[in-house]
Amino acid sequence: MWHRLALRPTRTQALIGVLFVALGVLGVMAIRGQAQGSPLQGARNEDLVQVLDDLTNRRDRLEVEARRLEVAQERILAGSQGQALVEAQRRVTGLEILSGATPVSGAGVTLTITAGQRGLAPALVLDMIQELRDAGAEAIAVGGVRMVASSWVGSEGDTIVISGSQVAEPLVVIAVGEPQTIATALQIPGGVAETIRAGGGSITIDREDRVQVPALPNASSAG
Amino acid sequence: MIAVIGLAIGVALGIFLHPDVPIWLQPYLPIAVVAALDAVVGAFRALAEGTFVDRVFIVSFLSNIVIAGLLVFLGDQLGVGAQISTGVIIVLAMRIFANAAAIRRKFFKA
Repeated sequence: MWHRLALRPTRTQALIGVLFVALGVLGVMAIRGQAQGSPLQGARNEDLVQVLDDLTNRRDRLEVEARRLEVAQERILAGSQGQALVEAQRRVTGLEILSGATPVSGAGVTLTITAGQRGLAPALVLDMIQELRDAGAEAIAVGGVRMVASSWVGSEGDTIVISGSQVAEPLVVIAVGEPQTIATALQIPGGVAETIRAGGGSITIDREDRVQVPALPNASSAG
Repeated sequence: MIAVIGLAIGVALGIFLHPDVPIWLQPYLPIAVVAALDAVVGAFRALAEGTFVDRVFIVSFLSNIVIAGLLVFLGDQLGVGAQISTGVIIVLAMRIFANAAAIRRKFFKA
């Protein structure tokens, strides 16, 4: 049986060889084509639609932002020095809030969190901060430490460490922002509150008309 | 023997020459490879059963690729390209399994 496969240079044998060469090249090309394709290539239609929707939404948001900035630019260019000053002052205030240079007060919520036996995971605290920001919180303090762009959350044993300082339990989180929105955001099914309770901890959410978030101690005020 | 050498040369060519796949050919490439594999496994079965004929192998190899490609092309034109390529792949895979089973029975009597 195997003698048929032996090296006998007839025309048909050569043709078969050529076919196998073609198969080898095709196989390598097919594998290469798969390897270098973008991850979107193999995605299902529904996923692609989702991605497209997200991108469209993002573009719309950015366009609104761009128009707002264009209007501001025109005002500054066309208006008097006073208007430019007002705009600059407005920016300074916004940046001070973002950078934690000034204390912020206003309506907001106070969260009191006690961890269960398993302790409080830094990832959970981070999720909570993200959730608060998503819900429109302007300023957040966790355990009395103001959250800014460079803040970090870690752990040392069972204690949570926020930007280098240990935070004792119960963890008190103060956020300035629309209290109703923030409270709702924290209590969505599968959200922060449910996760904490599922881990054996407890969380109370107090909506308040006036809370105060302290400034970052070593940030100097630009104003 | 000539098959193994041919395959080795083919793989080497594919790796070292970096052939660019034309974009219109890309959807058909995996189908073509599976169709060719079906022909190859069928040829091994024929070898095992002692009924191998060169001409049959060459024709089935080429016609498999062409028919599979045409089917997928037709499917693309009709808007059911993804489904028809799945169908073609399933049928070819079933044939490969059936032929592999025949080879297995021949060699291992199991």
